[in-house]
Amino acid sequence: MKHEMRKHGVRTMALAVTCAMAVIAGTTARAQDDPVAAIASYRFGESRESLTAVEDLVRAALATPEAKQALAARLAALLESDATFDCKQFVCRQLVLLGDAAAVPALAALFADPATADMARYALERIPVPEADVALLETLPSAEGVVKIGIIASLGNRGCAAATAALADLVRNADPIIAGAAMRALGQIGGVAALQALEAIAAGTPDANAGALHDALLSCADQLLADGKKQDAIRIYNDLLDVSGRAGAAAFRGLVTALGDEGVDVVLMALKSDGEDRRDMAILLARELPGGDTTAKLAAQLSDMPPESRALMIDVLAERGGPKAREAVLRVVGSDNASMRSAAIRAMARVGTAADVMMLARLAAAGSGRERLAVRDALYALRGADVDQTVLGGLDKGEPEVRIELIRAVSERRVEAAVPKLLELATDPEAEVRAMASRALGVLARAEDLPALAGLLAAMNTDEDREAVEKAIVAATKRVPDELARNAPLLAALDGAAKEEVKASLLKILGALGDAASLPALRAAAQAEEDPVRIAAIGALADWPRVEVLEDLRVALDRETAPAPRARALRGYVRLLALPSDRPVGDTLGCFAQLLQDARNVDERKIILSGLGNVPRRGALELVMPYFDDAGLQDEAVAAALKLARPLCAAHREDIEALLDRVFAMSQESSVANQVQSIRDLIARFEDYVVAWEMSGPYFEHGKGRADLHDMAFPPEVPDATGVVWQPAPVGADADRPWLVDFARTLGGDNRVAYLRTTVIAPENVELVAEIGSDDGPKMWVNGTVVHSVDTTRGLKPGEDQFAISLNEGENTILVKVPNGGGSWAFCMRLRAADGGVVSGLGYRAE
Amino acid sequence: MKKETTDFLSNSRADRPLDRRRFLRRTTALAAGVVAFPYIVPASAFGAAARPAPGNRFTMGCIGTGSQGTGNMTGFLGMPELQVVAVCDVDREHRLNAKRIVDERYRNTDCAEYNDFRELLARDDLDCVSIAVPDHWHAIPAIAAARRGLDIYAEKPLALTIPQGRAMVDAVHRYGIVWQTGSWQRSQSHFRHACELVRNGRIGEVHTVEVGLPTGPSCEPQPEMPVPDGFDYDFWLGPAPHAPYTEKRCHWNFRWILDYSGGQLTDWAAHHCDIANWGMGTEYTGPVEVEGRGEYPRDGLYDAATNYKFACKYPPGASPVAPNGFTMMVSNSYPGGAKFIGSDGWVHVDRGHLTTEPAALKDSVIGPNEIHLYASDNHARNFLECMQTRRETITPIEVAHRAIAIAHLGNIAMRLERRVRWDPRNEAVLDDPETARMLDRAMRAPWHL
Repeated sequence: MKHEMRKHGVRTMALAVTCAMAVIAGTTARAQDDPVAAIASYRFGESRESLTAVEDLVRAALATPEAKQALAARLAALLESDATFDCKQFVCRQLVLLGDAAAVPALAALFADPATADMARYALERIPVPEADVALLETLPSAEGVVKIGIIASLGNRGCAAATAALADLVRNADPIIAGAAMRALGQIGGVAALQALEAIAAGTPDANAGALHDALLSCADQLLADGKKQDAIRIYNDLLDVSGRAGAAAFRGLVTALGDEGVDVVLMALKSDGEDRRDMAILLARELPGGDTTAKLAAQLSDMPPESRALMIDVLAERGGPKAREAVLRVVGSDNASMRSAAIRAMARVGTAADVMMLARLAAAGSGRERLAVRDALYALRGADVDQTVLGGLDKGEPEVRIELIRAVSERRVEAAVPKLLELATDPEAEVRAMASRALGVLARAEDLPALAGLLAAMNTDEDREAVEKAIVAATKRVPDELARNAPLLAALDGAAKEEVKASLLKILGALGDAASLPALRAAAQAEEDPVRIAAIGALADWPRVEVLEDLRVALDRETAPAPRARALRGYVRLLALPSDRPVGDTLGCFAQLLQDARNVDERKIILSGLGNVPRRGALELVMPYFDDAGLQDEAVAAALKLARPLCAAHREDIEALLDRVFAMSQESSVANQVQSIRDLIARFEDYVVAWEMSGPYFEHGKGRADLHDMAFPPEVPDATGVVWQPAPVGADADRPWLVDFARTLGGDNRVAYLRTTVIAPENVELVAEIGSDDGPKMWVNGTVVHSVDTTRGLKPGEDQFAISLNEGENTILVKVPNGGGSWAFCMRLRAADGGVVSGLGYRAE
Repeated sequence: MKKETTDFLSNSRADRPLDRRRFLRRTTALAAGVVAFPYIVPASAFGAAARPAPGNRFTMGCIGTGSQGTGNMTGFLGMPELQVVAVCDVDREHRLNAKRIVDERYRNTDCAEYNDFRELLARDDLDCVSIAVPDHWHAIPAIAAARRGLDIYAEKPLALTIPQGRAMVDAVHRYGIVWQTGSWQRSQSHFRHACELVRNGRIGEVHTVEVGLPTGPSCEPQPEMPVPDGFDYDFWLGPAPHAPYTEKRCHWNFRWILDYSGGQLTDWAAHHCDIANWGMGTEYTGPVEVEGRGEYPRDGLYDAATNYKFACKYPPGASPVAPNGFTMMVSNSYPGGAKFIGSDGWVHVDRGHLTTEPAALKDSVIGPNEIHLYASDNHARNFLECMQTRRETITPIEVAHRAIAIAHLGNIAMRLERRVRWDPRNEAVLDDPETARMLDRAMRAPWHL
């Protein structure tokens, strides 16, 4: 499809003027030179290029009154010609912009045919000249049915005061739809005459039009109020107060607005009334009406409200805020009525002050369940410059339970000034206070507090306290962006630590941080003579987030003899082996095979088998399956195999089905049977879709959108490109459509592409139909040749694209590129016979 | 149009019993601790395990049951406090599918189905409606429902034109109903957090917001086709100009055609421009100048912009975090989402991620004395809560209107290739009567607001 960025063009302008002059001169240009003439025969379904050429002329003609007038005349002439319906409709669209008084007669003539009446109004309604009003008004009496209704609506939309008398006649029309339209138009036009006409029929209006009438009267009243005629507006609102339906409530709103400061009294009365609609509106108004006086009045009435309204009013007062609201809320915080109390507690979050800190802390300390959480939320949300100081002031004294609530509060409120006090409280005689203070330090401590925290660690006397401080240090250091700044104080503390248990704690912390800066210290400690220090270092390496310590763990495994440190090192080793890396999959599986061979006992083999479950490759399954026959290891082997079966079942359907049969026959555990059935169900739902895919991506380039990326070649589509990483595609995540490759779930992001590839094994040369759906438009290669490309934004519709492909006997490579502009991002494909039937005998390989 | 149908915009509810049902439901919910503004209330606060008795449930009718409408409806079906009692769609297949889903959920056959939304609105047992119809149909059923006093959950973008949007805002305001717009990103905490970072000055004075939206397709000219059996095509066209039926005109694809929508620009501006407004605190105003360039297909059925970029200027004072004014850039050439760029860094938020410069900024905690924006963790549930409390929802109608007005002005500026000067207070084009003509369009009779 051809696109051109529109620009103000001298050429276009010149053409417009030329065309206009041609009309003036009475000459007729040939169609190919004259876009206006070219459109006379336009019909839907043909190329629209001739229309867009005229749109260019219209835009250019707007530059001068002369060009605009000339082009409008030329286009209007088409309306009076034998041009097609589609041409005339297009012309009316252009006259919205170009139309003037001179174009009105040609437009009005379209009312003669009901089929073109809407087109006439499409232009006339938007042309701001009085001649358009006149044309509509003159046509109104003779128009019938929907044409009449349309004209009435247009007169209303134009606010045509001159139409008031004619519309007034129509409000009693026998056709209720015409009458209703006239009422609404009068409401839009407003003014004394319109109002009189509407009020004159108020009594005799059938129910069918009551809504239209009341809405129109409300419009008139709103207009009067806006014009400063308050009493007139109030009279109308009052008249409508008791009408049925929502209009009464709307009139109530109008009345309250008109009454200004006195409106609140009316609202208070309505809050106590039984009328549902009016009470709805009163609640809304109680939220909206401005002023502290209004709040005071609402607060004063709280206790007189009907019980079912009271909780709602507390919410209203909370939203309004202010001292009076607070006083009213405080009176019910201790209420015996659960709903009132609940509403009041929540309201405290908005109206409470520093003066309420200790009351809320005591309530939280004494409370339980959901109500306690609500009280805490209120305490955490209190606003005011002096709230934090009040909370800090309460930390030193009082019941431990209350102090604990206040420590929670300084943490949640992020009171960083509390750190010195928390360091003191971390050694408080009360164990729970110490624990909570350590937790708060984890939230609040900064880089400069790390030495003090390390000192605190050394001062701890119990394992429990030490662990609490360890957690605090880890939490605090993770907020320090500079690696050196967060490690240096800890390494210094490690260097100076005298006690083995403190060293062990610091090693645990360094391990949890996982920074390269601490690796030398950890490696050194892993060689230490002292058992607690060495074992802690091995633990830290075992939890390390990256594969760089793989060899360290291997060494530890070789050296350690005691079961516990060996198990720790082994767990870390197999975890890291399963992490994504540049290591070829074959090497990874070789390491696992060697581990299994070298394992010293059953427990170690269990760890290794469990680790294999995290390597979703067919080779992992082959390592696991021999242990099905080992009674001591069967459970772990089955668990690992089932863990592997789910990600592998798309790419290796037949093998996995055989595996499931075997596992099912072997195990008596219901949990195993359930897992087997779940994977079987998943496979059954694949139908005949292709699910054996490998995926590569995402690929993107800054500043490039979907359309740019569609034809931009990334490495997977470049022949002989190296370094392309392929991984099993995310199939099976959507329970209803497990055959869907859902990139959004695994890759995500806008303006990027992903690739899929699979190998199809065909028993013979064969012609098939690929049925694909994609979000967005895909590109597809079969054996290196592009066979399909749709450069578009779209949602996924399975089978939306259907096209023939040829497969050779033996292996065929299919590569698919799926770009994503934004939002969802997915792909699905199945191969069918030319007659749409299911194809048998095809094999798929994705690895 | 059927003569026997009563005025399609009637708000007459003379036959609706004035019962205490809704109010009692509201107070029941309050007892359960619903009122928590501005803090999120966990679903468990409703006692979700217990399904209220039928008389204590809100009743909903669903107008529009295509893919989006059915998705919304399915979400509501999972809420025990609400019961879907009727569905409506002009496509029989969509309608019957929706009825099947509802009936399967409730294990009965009670769900009523309608082709004509006016018949659904005429029921006297509804509390609320969910509306998910093409954009050109947004205003009419919404205003009709508002006049009947029904609370409304409706899809974005709010309206086809700025005046239609304003008429919807006025109706919702006049009749005091609860309105939730389907701009659900507001109910995701990372969008709220991004906006709170901006509002609280974490990136200093903001000078630019880049709003990245997707682009849409073009297509070849399409042939006229027979209208499928069961599809009330004339009703589908409704207030839009007459047009021959062709498959790619309808359902999901309507959004690529300017008679029914504004392309991906309006479809997504209702999300990301809304977030931009939220972060900038410009939810109740608009730009004063809009200018840009768009690429519109010159042939084929679709005519909405496929590439676009426009700038919206906001004056000093429009935003509390841009004392010198700022520019909102909207384009499909930016990464998706809203990127706020200030003197001290930037915040970029999109679905699924929040990134900042400096990077640690995203973890910054908003203190109790700072600005906290309206919090909701479930968009549909927020609607339900507000039905109960009569509080404004997280995406009230005026806010939705202001968000989509940006896109409408962008489309007008690009289509006319003109700088549009705009008075956001009066919603009027300044000094350019020709551009003003583009603001609205006449509806095909008998439809009108």
